[in-house]
Amino acid sequence: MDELTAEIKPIRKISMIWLLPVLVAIIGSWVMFQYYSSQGPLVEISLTTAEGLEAGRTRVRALSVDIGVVEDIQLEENLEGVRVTARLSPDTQHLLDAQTQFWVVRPRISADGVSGLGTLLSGAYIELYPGKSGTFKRRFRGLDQAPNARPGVAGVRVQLQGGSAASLTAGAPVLYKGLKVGQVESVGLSDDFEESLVWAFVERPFDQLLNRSTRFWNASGIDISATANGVQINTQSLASLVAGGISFSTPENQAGLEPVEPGQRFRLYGTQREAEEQPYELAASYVLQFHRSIRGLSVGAPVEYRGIRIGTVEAILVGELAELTPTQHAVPVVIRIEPGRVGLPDSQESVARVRDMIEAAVREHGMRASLQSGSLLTGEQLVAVDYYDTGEVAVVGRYQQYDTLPTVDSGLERIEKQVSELLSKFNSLPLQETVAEGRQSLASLTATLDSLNALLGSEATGRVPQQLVQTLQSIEAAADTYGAGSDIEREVGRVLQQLDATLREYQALANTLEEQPSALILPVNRANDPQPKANP
Amino acid sequence: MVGCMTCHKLNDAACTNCSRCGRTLISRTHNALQRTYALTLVASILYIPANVLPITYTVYLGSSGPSTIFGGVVTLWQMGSIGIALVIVIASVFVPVAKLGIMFYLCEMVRQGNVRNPHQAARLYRLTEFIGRWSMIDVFVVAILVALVKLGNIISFYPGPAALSFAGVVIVTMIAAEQFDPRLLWDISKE
Repeated sequence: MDELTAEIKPIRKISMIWLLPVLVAIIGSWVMFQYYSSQGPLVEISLTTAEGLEAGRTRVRALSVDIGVVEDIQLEENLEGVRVTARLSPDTQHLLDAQTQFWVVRPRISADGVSGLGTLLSGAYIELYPGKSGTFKRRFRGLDQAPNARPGVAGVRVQLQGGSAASLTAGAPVLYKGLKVGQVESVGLSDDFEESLVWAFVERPFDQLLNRSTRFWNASGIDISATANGVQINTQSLASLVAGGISFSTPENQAGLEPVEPGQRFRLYGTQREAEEQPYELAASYVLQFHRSIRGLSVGAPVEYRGIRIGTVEAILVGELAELTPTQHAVPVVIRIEPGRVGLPDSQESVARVRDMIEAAVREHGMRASLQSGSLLTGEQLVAVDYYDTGEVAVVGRYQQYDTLPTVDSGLERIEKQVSELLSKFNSLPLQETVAEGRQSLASLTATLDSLNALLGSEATGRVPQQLVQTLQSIEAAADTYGAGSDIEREVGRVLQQLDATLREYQALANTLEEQPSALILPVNRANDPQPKANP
Repeated sequence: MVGCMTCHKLNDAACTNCSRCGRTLISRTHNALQRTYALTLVASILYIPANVLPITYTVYLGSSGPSTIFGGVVTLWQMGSIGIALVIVIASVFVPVAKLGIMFYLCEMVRQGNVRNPHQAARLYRLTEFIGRWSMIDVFVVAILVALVKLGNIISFYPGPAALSFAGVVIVTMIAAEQFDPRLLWDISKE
């Protein structure tokens, strides 16, 4: 048996066991990394209410596809809302950026229809609409309700600012010739609370219908107007009757201007008539200073050139009355002359052109503005612009920030003036003296008559009738000598008989001469009288 | 004299194998300290995912959510079940941490060769060995819940990655305790 020899191996100072913690650490960190990278992003959404939401149950969906679940719902510190924490699926990071929108889908009943019925059974869920800007974000403000325009629908969003948004609600249709081409997204007040502010969305391809000169008006409810032609009732679709609606139109001669940009601001008019009366956006404004009453002139009255409407009365600067002085006492009226009304494009260039034209016309051809009576019945006034040969030279001036147009009196105003001139001339006549002279004349007339009276009353005058009678008697006696049975009368009778006989003889002679003119010289040859007899 | 590790027969120190069962006789476990140290470290590493990752996925009336050990404790505490919360804290936080702490303490004492009170140290070691198998409560609970409660969407439990990790912590700690050679304590204290 061999001697056992010990094989001596050096004891390793460091055991292989140390590989184990290293391995575990690697595996452990890999598992943790796996776990967290498969978790997907955690987002915080602020909402006004958590109605219908439940932690652990409520889903987050994008286009109805589940992409996450609500993990936690907390009240905000100031109790002004709730903060919902949701865990999204992995690989949804790219959906989250500044434009991402979240809103809660609940059953919703509106004039436009019923939506979100599916949530009656499944419960509310949070809808996500991804943004496109690309910067990752994890805190969001949730919308109170679904945006009315479906995400991803192309179109253009415009702001409408106007007086009253009565009976207009979010979701109401935007109509073009009575057809729905978009919808109202929100109805609110402008920043200064002065006017209503409506956001409307017009879907593609109808956004091409819009341009800078497009006019929007509130087409809500029923428009009843009674005119000389009868009663007219205008309504739009039934939905707009209930939920309100907005219509728009683009003036035909203004089509094809530059398209609108998203978020462009438009005026919202109360009625279609109002909108169409003011279809031009750009205008040259002028101030007219009237030195007479402008009673009957109202804002919105037409400005005409020889009966053709070229603009509108924009404002009467009542506020300026406070600054009037005895020497400066004209009432300033602002008018706008709209190039669009006379076939020019509704653009700044046209305005500049119109300004130049007016300036030249005022300086060289005597263009003036005047107040004219539009209707004698109602006393409405309008502003007329025309050329007047006044002989005065005037130019476009300045009044505060406006140019001024020189004014002139005309029409009725002139007649009025003439009448008043006539009256003042009449007034200056020497009536007093005339009347005094008349009185004197009358007095002398009376004296003349008196003397006449005295003359008539005298004795000599009394004898005149007697003499007159004597004269007549002698005239009568004279007449008797020529009367019937008198010698003269008989003599005359005899002469007349003789004349008669003579004339008869001359009758026979005249007859003979007529038949035979030669009888004067030749003997008369009379024919026998014809004898009546029968034919053999 | 060297005691056999398997049959506990005392052999002469010159023998290399046990005269009864034939096992290689070793006076002191080779590299015991390093092994214990390394395994304790492994257990500590495993303890991190055991607490961070969810131990179960609960489905309750259609809503599902992961829950970690500590999250569960907090929920129980908030719900008012302070007793149960304490049990879980003790079983799944206090005990493993204490075990790891004791192991590190013992190893460190041996490594520095400075055992002030070997009796106390030995008591701590025995305690660790004893508790070892009982600190699997969490894992047991998860195993039982997963196996028993399976009602689909109404209520169900699914094990999470932390359950495996936690089991790993317990097992590795037990092995570490096993690997520790308490004789080292006495070796040092005799000197």
